[in-house]
Amino acid sequence: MSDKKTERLVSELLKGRLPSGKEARIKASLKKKGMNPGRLAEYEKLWDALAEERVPEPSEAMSVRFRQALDEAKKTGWRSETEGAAARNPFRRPGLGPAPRWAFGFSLVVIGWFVGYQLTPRPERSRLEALNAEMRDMKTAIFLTKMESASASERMSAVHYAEDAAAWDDTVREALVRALNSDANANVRLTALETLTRRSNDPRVREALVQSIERQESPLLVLALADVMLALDEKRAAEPFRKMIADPALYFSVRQRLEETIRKLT
Amino acid sequence: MPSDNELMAAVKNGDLEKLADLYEKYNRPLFAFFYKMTSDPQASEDLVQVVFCKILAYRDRYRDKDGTFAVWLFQIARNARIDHYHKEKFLKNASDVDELEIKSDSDTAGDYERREKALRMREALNGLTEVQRETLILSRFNGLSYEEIAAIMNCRVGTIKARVFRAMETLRESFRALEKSA
Repeated sequence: MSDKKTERLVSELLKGRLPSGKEARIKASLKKKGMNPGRLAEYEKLWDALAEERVPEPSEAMSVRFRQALDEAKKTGWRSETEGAAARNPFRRPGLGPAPRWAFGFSLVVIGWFVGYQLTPRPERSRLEALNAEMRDMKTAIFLTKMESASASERMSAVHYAEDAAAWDDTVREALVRALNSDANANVRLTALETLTRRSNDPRVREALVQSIERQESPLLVLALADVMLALDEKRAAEPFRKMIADPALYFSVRQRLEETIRKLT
Repeated sequence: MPSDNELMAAVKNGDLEKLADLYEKYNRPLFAFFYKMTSDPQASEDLVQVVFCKILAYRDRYRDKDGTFAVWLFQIARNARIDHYHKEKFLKNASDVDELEIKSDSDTAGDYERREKALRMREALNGLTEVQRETLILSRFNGLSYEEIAAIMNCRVGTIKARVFRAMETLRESFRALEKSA
């Protein structure tokens, strides 16, 4: 019974928003085509029931994450991917008509061939560089999105993701330092410390690690930082550790370890 | 009140703050779309975030003459969900998650019947093909016209109408069978 016209009419009827009189005309057509009114009523009942299915409200955290991502994009002047590609693509210069573009392109091909013939395949190299840059931008975007997640395991996976050399840049470094200093979850802070430690040949990372000492409240993090500072032989860490042991509320075992660390560093 | 196209044009021209207006308008419908498809609230929230990141990243590709903003938005949403599905395979346990969700939120005895009916409906929906389910959700829950859905799914309007009919027929049959066995 379900020929194409019947299918179309039933779908239109269910969707509603029909001009006056059309509903009656469709029902009459369907009746003429042998559609049982009971069956039509069943479709309509199901169609209504579909709308009744409840959807929970998204959490407040979703909007907070969006706001943070938008502020970050505004602050960093996040360029559109296509804008970035256009900037890298000499064929897309604004103001050039098709003929000059072809001439420009052709001259590039000739030059490319010549240089490639003489030296190395440069056009291929620049294309790869452009692709790498796009990949890097995308990886950074994914990393930042995951870092804003309300789920600690998502943030952990973002920190692991940052270990990928291709994803590493200033934005990633700053986000990891933020995670080390203020993430609500101690495991995320520890993993961020681990990842940053692998980048400790960067003086900005070392500086951030030293500054992070005074921000840590968890004994676990303080002890981990003490180990890192010893491994890096970072003498600047002695001062913040001294300030820490001046606190009478500090755990005895932590105090002992910090005193030992200061002794070894100085 | 500026239209979606005007807001998106402003975003393209660098006024990124206007994206917040579009977010206000579309975050719930988008969340509902993802939730209906995945039954996973956390994944749905993540996917909403991914969609708005993509809008920002690909804002220069938006052309208002190609259709409404909603069409473009749901095209991105579909692709984001497919990517996520391939990466995470989170649909595997979709019905389990949904059951837990419904139970935890409905704890009075009077809600029992409604809860059972919702579970049967969810089960029946899971019996549809993914494309059928997506079509029904976009039409019934997101209120998009068949023309808009055809543009999102890159097919003819007639195909969408046929898909809706077949989905309804499958739903009718499986809903009947489930009600009988209940």
